Amino acid sequence: MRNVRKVRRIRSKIYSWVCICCAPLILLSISSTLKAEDIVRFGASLSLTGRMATEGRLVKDGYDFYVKHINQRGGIPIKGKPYKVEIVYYDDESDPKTATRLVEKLIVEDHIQYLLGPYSSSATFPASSVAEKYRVPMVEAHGSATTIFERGYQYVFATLNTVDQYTGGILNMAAGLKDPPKTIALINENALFPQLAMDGGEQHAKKLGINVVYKEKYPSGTKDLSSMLAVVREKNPDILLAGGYTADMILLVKQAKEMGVKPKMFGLMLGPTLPGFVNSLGKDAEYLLEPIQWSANMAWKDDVFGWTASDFARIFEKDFGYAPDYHPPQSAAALLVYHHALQKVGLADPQTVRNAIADTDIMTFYGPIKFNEKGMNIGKSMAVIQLQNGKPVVVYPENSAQGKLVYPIPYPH
Amino acid sequence: MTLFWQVLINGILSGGLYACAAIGFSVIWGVMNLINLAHGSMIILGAYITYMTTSTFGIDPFLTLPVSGCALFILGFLIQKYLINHVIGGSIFMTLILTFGLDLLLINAYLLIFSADLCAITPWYAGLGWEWGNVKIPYTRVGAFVFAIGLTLLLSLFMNRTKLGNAIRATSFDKDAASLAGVDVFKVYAITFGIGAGMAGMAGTLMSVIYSFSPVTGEIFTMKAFVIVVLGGLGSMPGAIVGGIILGLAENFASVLLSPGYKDAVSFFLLVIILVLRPRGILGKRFYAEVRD
Amino acid sequence: MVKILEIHGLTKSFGNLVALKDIYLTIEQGEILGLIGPNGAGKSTLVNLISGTLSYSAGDIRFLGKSIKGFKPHQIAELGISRTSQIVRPFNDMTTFENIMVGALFGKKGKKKGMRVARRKAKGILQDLGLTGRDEMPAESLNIAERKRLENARAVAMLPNLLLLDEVLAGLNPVEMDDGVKLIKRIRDSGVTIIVIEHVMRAIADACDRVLVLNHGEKITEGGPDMVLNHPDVIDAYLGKRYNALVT
Repeated sequence: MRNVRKVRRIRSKIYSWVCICCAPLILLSISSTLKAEDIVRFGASLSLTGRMATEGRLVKDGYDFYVKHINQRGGIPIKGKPYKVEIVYYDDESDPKTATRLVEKLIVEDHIQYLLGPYSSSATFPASSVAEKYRVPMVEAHGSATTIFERGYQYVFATLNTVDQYTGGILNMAAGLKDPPKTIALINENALFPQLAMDGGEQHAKKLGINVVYKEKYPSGTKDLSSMLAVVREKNPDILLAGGYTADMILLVKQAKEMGVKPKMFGLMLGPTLPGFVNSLGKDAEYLLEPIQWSANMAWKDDVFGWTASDFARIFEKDFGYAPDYHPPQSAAALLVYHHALQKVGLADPQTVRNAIADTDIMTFYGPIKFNEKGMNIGKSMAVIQLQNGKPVVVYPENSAQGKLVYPIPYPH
Repeated sequence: MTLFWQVLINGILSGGLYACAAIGFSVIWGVMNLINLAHGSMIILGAYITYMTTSTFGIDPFLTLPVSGCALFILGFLIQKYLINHVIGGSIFMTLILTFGLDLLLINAYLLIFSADLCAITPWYAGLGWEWGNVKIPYTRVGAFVFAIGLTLLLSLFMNRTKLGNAIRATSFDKDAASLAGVDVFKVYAITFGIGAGMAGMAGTLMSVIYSFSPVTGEIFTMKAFVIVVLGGLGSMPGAIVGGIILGLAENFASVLLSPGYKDAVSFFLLVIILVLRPRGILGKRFYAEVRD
Repeated sequence: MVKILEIHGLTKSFGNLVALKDIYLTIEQGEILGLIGPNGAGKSTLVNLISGTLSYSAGDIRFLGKSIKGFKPHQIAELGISRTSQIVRPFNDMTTFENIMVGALFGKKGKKKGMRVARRKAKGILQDLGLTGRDEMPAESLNIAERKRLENARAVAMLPNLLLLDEVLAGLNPVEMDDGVKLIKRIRDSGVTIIVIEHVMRAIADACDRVLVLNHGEKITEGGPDMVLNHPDVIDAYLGKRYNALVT
């Protein structure tokens, strides 16, 4: 992992040069447009350089995508008058402390009243505290840790599904089947993200009346899961869900087969859609499930641009030169939340806008958005793909499905 | 009861592979008092060689054992001859730093050549196996076990029955006396490192059939090799087998009886116990440091 | 007579300390040469220079007419010079037989020796040196006399032309020492030239044809054992002037 980061670091260096060169341009454009009157300004601190510069770039492209297209249409029509959109960006160098400081600067010095989120949970967690302190709304798109929303905050909202909801799609889908599975086993690597995902899975399963027969974690970097899987085989669960990083997931699938574990439904928190995964496992990867935040063939369509998810993917690729994964639409959706809220209440004070955001119930190309009292998006659940003939096929939710779920998994395959 | 037998078999099967992964490390450490931190990366290289060979020629992964073994032997021989032999007389930290650097070099070379993606080899019989009641015994693991133990025994025979083996053993006990007896110590060192690397390469081949790997997954094997060598006894071939199987059993039973999360804790607990009760290891004789005057 | 070893003006210093100064010495085939001198006289330095453990800067050593300057220990062993160490250092975890095997496999013309021939040879030597019955025991379980014999056996197994025995008789009881002297003579009779380095005067007198005495890195005298052992300078060097005065 260390070396992947190294590669990223080099890449981020290149980005940082690009940013340094572009900074005067950005500032210039801001100062020139400041004179114009009808403008809505948003602010965001992003990891444009440093460790997470690659992802930070994807987020910025998502925000910019919205800005470009809404301005092309004259801006956000608020109370009969169009307002152009502008975003003030700062580079936090992938450092949560810097992000926190910059968010404060956005509020205090730049008088930004509508905040967007930084990249990553570790930056969002402290940065959102500042927003809460100044009572300025922050609609974030990339802090998936549940803990961000467990602090009773009023001003923080997220467009994505938080970690605890990762298993939701698969479990809801399971519960809706004709002959629903009754038992579940959960396995995860002893690391924060997999742990939160499986803890969420356990709670969700209990809620749906699925009996949790096994839940264990294994140490990071393990080379052998066979005996753990031997125990799973004895428990004979209908569903097997596992959370961990790719190497472990490949190992898990191989050894599950070797040990004769035959769940009717087999889901991994990540892996199946990553490059190399299917190659490594060949036929053994067949019928595996993975929850995903978004995919280009979702049957969702927004009412601002009138674009579907696939329209978004197509136009985005034309604008930015690469096919978007979930990062850009997830980011653009945060601006759509503001779009609707501002249309409803106008350029009001942050408190009023906050209340409008809390009442959000919209449809976007990223999916439906509706917040619970904690600020988490409960409008959408994770979509689910299943590997069929080596290709990821969206099988849930049904209205976006590209294919039918194969259930129970036929053995041998 | 089924579970007991299954876990027992799992433990023994993974133990055999652990032994094979540790033996090269053990030989190099035992003979030259050199802790080869690049050992895990050499195992990974063996795995990549198998991966490339099988994907290019479509042959069975087990048949690539000679390829990975020879390639790594040559690499190891050259590394020792032109690199490590120049610093080996000095402080142990010099060799540690050198092999650590070598490890980084190898990892980054793999990243460039093979990219950071995970690889796994899936022969047609992957996932199949014998069934004995409800106990599953996968072919790939049995194959890896048999070859692992076979190679370890072969190496043991080589050490005891050949002239070169005798030279290596003599050098390991007293390099000055061996030198006076007419043994070219630096050549023996180069060959020993070659053998250690060759064993690592073949362990990599066997490992690739069972586990997935990427440029950075070697580290864990260096760690395990360390534990096994201390458990079984430095430089001892039967010790490596015993150490490997004990580690395999301990890990597997710990993951069932306690929790999979305690797996590593248990193996390191074992390590501490052995260090306290029997610092020479279970089958070890003299600890290297004691031989040196 | 064939000159096995010729030493010309050999000098070795460690920094400012001169350990050996301008030594001349010639050894002929079939000789047993005694090398004596008090501690620090330079005996071990001389042996280390001949066996290649140390390298010399000035002067030269020739073995069978050929200079060995710059040769490594294993190359010198291959030429046909073996030595034992002052402190016995058998390969402890190997058996007695395996220890001898290491010698038999390598040593003179070591590259040409195979396992089978070496095994036969090692068995012969095991018998010759009275170590039969000990062959499967680890070397560390032998007693001191046996270890010394093993050390000899390993050196002999190398089939050298020249054998350097560094204090192989020290620490033995009189009976064992007699055996040792007989053994040395027997090895010589098999055609090996021997240099014996010893503290023990009686053993030297019994075993050697010629004796060389070193003190403070210089040669004091050289000659037949009786002559040398009664030489006043030697007695001075060994026992001090007062003792010498007392005796004469």
